[in-house]
Amino acid sequence: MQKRRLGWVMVLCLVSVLGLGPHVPAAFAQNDALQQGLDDSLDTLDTAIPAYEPSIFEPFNEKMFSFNIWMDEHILRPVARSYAGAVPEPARLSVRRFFDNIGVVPRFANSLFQLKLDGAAREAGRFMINTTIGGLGFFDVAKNKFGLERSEEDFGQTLGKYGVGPGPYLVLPFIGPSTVRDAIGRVADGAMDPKTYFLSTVEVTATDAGTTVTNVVNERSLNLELFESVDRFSLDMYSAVQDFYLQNRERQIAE
Amino acid sequence: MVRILFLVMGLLFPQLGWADSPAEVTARLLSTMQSCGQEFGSSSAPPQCTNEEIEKNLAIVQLSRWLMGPHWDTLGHEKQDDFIGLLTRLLRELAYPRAAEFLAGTQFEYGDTHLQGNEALTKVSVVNPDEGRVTIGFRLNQSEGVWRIWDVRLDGVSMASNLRKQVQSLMSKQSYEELVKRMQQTIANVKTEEAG
Repeated sequence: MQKRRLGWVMVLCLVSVLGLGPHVPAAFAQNDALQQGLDDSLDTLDTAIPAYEPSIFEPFNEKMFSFNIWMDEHILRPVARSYAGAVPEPARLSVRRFFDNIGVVPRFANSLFQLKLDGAAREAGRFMINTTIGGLGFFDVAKNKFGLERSEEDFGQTLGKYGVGPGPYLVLPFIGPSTVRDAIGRVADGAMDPKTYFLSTVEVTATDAGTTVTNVVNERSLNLELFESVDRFSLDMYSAVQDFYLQNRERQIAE
Repeated sequence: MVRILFLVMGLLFPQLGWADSPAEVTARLLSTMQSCGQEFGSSSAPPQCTNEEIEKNLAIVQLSRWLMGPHWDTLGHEKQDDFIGLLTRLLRELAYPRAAEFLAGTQFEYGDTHLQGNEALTKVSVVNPDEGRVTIGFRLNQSEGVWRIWDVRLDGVSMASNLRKQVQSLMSKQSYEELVKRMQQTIANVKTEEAG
């Protein structure tokens, strides 16, 4: 069934796998989305279409995109495949939940910054429940037993919410699709990590490198087949990923 | 005589209500695809499970023009027809069978339809056993009194916009010939996967 999932799901997974950027939700929109109307800014069939305008970083972006693809093909995917062979899927899903749990601070803070008090309360509740009876976050008791969903907020979204435009599209090495605004947001979210206030820069870097590599390999192992399909079924992978990233971020900010 | 009168009136004034509404067009497409499921395209499929039945509800020619944007007029009639044909094949090979399979066994909940001139948006919430709840927005355009679907927005992400970005990028950075080559390659990839 996975092979036949819709193309956009593949690409969104690709963005989250390659990107590790602002989190792409696995769950889909809620029912209230049914009541939203036409978006005035959306193109219609009658709209005159402007010519294609590449990002000012296009030459750099294309190189970084190729580099990331190369890294994935030659390093990440083989490692993830071996890892998937050694670690059963339920354990890998638990690892995902663990990383999700320790990333609470930026989500909580950005929910507050955007005055989404419900989201902030949910994040606080989720962290307390999952860290205690959820075994340090390896089990999502908060969602399964108490119905507390994640609040998908980051600083890039906060900036967007207060009117900061995305700026040019940017592909970052190892990180993937982003924009100038979202890249700044990533730095701000990183600064909210509590350990940056207790550990030295070298210790923080070493810890981050370890956790990031584990997280990346784990995520990739959970999306092995989907990733391969994106390349086969898109006409131009670079622009497909770019467009999905930008559309998805626009939607996240609008929510 | 009365029948002829109704036919003429229907052709002249489709906006009076004889043509299907955007919600009806959307429901008809979903219903057709849902009933086909994995049998779509196979010899044992029900009679309504044909590409032609599905394409009655789609604005493929208008979509082709929209995807090409400013390049459309520079192509000439022959290449325009080729592009429409390739796009149709791409949809037949890649989109219809997957959509039919995805929609099989799902439950629909229809939302409001929003009208704005010749444009409409119909929202449907689909509960799929594997994917969970997915909100699908169908964009329709009215041409000569008939509503047809030209875009599908999955959880707010427009599939047509994404395809347009790819087409525009290839046309700007490469050439029409390269675009055609990529489309043919993608169709070949689907056939290879099906054969494998």
